[in-house]
Amino acid sequence: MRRKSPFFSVALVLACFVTAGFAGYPAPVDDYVNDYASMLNEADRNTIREMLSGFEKKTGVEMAVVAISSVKDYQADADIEKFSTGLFNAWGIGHKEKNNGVLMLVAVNDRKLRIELGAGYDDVYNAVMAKVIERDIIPHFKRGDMSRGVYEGTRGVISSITREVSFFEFYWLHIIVSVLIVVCVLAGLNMIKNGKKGWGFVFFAAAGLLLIFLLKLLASGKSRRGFGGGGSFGGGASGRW
Amino acid sequence: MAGIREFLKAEDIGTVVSAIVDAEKRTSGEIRVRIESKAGKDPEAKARAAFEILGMRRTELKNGVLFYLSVNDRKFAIIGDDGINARVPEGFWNNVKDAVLEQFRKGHFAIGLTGGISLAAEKLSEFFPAEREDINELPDAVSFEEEK
Repeated sequence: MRRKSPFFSVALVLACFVTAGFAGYPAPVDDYVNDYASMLNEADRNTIREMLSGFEKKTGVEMAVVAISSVKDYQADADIEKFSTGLFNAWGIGHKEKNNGVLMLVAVNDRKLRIELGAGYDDVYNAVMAKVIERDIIPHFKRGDMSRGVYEGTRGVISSITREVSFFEFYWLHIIVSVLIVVCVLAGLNMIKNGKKGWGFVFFAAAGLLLIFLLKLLASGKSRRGFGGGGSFGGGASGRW
Repeated sequence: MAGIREFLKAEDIGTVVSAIVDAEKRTSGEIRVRIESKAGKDPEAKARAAFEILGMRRTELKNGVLFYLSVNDRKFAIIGDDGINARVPEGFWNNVKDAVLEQFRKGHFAIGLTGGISLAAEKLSEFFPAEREDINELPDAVSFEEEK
């Protein structure tokens, strides 16, 4: 057969993807904790897994903890930043549209770690992750308590990205806009009564636009398998101990 | 950025700090005030970052409270740590918020803050009473955005 069917070509390409999809990276064996370095003790691994699964159920945020002995085991020339961004994207951590995934990567023998954030996180979270690494993780890693460091770090990440913040506006903007809407409607009605129909509609249109603006103002006051296909542009923070 | 310093004049900062010192005599909760110029495209993220960078999570009982103000956006939030959120009922901060907003809307920022801080302490003391050997775990100074 000289000409292969298009279906066959597609199948061939897919097959390549499946087998070579994680080239240069480990293949995931668990949705939450992949401890290739046997760094965590059994009890902590289970606790962290439960924490992450509960976190995902509650907030929809996929977070993966990965421990390897060294990035050099997978890629000769990679540093932890490059490796963690690559791993994040290879696995597709996080919800694809929201890009809210989090990866905590520890390279035990390199004595380096990184918290990588999905592209959906505002840049200010990079500094937040740097603090989590510095305050929650490194002190335990320095004492050699890897399990505790990962546990406290996971808690720190969860706490710092989901902390409830409700804003209250202290400007009278809502009230000013509401009053303007009423004025515009009344002015429009008055114009129409006086026979100036064109002006009447201009005022009605203005009232409509203001109403949309007001609604926007008010609005601003407020079990899966595998990963969700999220990506990272390399946001996050790194640390060493 | 206009007004971040004018927002709270030097003499007003003093009264806010003494309100914090007094407040922390009544509760083991730790109160801080953060003033920023603009909230940016993700105001909640920026407020969470401020909470983290000021080290608000570093209290034994997880009972830090941050009064966060974004001057140019005219927004403010009261942010509590996990220990508080786990114990207090829904809408716990509502009357503190109302008291603060009432003054803020008149342009009385220092009065709004001091009143809010002292009311917050009173409410917190029910869940986190002052301890005899209470340690001041976090600084009492007002934190402005330009200072990290």
